[in-house]
Amino acid sequence: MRGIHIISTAPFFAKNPNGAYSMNKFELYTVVLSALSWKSLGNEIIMASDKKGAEYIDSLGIRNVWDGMENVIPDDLEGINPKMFWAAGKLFALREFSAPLAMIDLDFILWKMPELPINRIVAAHRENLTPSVYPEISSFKFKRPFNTEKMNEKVLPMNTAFLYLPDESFKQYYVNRSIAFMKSAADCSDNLCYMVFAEQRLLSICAEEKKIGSQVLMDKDELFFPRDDYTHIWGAKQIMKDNTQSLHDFCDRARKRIRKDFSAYEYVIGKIEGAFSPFI
Amino acid sequence: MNSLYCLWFGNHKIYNMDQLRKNFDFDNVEMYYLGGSLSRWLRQCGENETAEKVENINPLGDISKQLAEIFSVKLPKGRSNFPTATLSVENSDKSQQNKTSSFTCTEVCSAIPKNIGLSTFNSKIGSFELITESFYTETGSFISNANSFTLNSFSIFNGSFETTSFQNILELSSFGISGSSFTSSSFYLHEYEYGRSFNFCGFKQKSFDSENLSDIIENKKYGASLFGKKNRNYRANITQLSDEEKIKLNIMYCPLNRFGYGIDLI
Repeated sequence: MRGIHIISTAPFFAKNPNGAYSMNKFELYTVVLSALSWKSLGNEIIMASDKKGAEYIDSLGIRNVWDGMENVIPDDLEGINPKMFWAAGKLFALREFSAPLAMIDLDFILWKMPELPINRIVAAHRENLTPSVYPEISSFKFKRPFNTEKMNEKVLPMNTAFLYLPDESFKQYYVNRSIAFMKSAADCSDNLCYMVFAEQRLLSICAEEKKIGSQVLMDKDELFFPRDDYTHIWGAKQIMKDNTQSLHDFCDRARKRIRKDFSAYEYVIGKIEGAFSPFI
Repeated sequence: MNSLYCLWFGNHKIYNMDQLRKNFDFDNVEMYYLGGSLSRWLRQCGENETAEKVENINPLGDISKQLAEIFSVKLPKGRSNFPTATLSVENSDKSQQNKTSSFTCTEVCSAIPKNIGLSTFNSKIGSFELITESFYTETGSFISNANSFTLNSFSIFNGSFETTSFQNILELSSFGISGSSFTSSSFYLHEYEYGRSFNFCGFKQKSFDSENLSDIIENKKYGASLFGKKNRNYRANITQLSDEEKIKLNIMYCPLNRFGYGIDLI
């Protein structure tokens, strides 16, 4: 199965116009483990990025972690507000790669191969319709007309940290509707509700509307039980950004895991550590 | 790079230009135009000339009108699609109310209360094996009837550890209890490796047997270190645990599991 990782730098440069794009050390170790584990399960992994993202991976010297790298995400996100729609790059990448495919977030690792049926989409897990995250659809404001009539507000959104789409026509329908929503939404300071609607709630709405079956990797009510199949760094990213000890502990474990299970890629450790060396 | 695909107008699947004109639906055609796949679909159908016209649409103009002209369909009265005013103040305020510091934290925090602590962990696990993972809790007690432990690190701050039998801590790299006590009716420590640490404030047990504890104390000055131990996943029968206990146990594997999941697997 072809899997895609996605780096879109537009949100970074919207906040840091003169900055140099980079990823945190723990993020690099996580994405490397994500790619290597996915490959070890007999799959292909492609890095989809924009120009700056590809340059960054190349500058690290870790391009070979992936089976290929494709510069397919428009640098300007075709005019979409990158602060509001910080994950828009994922939708653009999905638009460009043929189904069937699996989109894997950079902070999501599959340690076991899930069942991927030929006629059902598979997402990480469902999410509750928490009003602060998923408000009423009628609350969205648009700068150009966008039809939200007949949308089923009751279907639960699907978390797309992992998303498998088996059918090209449905993938195009979902992706085009999502991109159209992002291009139609009024500019505002909300950087949560609009984004998760476009990516996660619309997915469920589209699937229900087109009668496309769906399933999830995990029960949303059991995410935080002990598990041995999937890793999602998720909110721990902020903890590691704020807490040096957590960061060091995590990176130490990641290095050991690479050495133990993916020894052919041990060189990656040196590349990553080198990028953070104070002497460079 | 794309496979062949059809457009989807309501329940109709559109495979060619005739079907598109017959079932023309402005909402959907505009959606595919804005989404970027309309011209690709047209080229896929061999309609290159029309595709070129679509690609040359002025996105800041009235999209509905331009599409009606390209596809020679009648524009419904009052139909238009072009960008208008930006967000109202009212909506801006609402957006601010909905804003949270981090999307990724939202679901986690709703599922696991902050400062969950560990008032009591009453393990129903017969054996407890945790290698290269950390067992960590900020507060509370660990009470277990387990008789087998294989730990990499074990830490309790401001809490206590009680177990009927504590032995076989073969792979323990550090064991720390700060601010409280360790209680065990029997304690057997063997093959305790060179250079590791064993720290606690109180230590109570009826019997104590260690082959190498003196070495540990003697060599503590060299500090604790790990030497490439195998990273094995934790396996325990947790079916008897309540949901709350499972969540607590999961956080013990790795404190970061409070904010994500499966992080202990790395």
